[in-house]
Amino acid sequence: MNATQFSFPPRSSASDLAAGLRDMAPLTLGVLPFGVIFGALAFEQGLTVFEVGLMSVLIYAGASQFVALGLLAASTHPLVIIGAILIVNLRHLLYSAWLGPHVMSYRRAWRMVFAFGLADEVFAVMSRLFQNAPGSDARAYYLGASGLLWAIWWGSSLAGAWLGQEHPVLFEIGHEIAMPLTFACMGAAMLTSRPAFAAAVVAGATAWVAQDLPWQIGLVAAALMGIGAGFVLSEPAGETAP
Amino acid sequence: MIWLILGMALVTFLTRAAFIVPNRKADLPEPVARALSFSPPAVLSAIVVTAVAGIVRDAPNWPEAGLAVLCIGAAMVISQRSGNLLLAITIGLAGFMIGKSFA
Repeated sequence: MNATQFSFPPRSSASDLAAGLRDMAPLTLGVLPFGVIFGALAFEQGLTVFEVGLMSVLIYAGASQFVALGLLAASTHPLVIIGAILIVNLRHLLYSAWLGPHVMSYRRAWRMVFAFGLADEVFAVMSRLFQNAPGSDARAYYLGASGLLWAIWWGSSLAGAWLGQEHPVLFEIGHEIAMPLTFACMGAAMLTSRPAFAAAVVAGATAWVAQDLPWQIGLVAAALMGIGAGFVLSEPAGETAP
Repeated sequence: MIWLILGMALVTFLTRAAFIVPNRKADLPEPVARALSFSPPAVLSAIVVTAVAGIVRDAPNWPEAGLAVLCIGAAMVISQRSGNLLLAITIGLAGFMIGKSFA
């Protein structure tokens, strides 16, 4: 992510759009394989190609979509799936609270467009836009950056579903662990502090103990316990001990 | 399935829209923001453990479950140390496939 070149100073809406495309392009290289994997796993899970595409077009949140697949595989109650998605999505509140003041002057319809496409990668590039090129047209830049990522995301999801349909043998080997393996690696990359580590350990231990509760309710409980552990062990921002 | 997809799309949109679409400026209190920052590792860990528990339960023989845990653990270490997600997943998956062909 930090290898992205930041393009500035943009001067017109057209060049802001181009800057958005340019800044997002390298990030899409990392997203594309996950779109293909998502599509293939979802198809294997019994979703139709149409449903796979609909998920990526409407939800447009990779982590949540993978989580949903994992829970579908474990025949989880739909309301628990939506509850789990809500917890995975809580980090979006942080992005939302950060972007809000920057776009409050735009019309509400535009702000809904901003909200729809506020994926992790979009937050990453836009946070640098306001820092490095404060006078630029955030709408044009956003359309370029988020539009490109969105198209790549559902395009690669559909490609994965199609591959799973045409060449199922490609995905048969190792499919038992493909999903937990992907999650475990994503999670491990986040273990950069002791509280984050504690959050993961406590959540994992709770999930193990509560694995026999119905509808995977233990999963939601585990996530909440983990969040609590991280919170208790972390220092308030700005008051870090020397 | 369609309703589930629409429900998931709605909760995703709502969390993203919370501080953007309403017409007032609002700040997230520091303790809330700090707690929220731990949701990704906690949720992912809970899902991995739940999935591994399923593999252990369904495993026809122990070696396969042990191999899965071993490969996942190794891939986690690679991911954490190198930060290269694709590399870690590839190695973990390859290790599992190679190990399984010997089982």
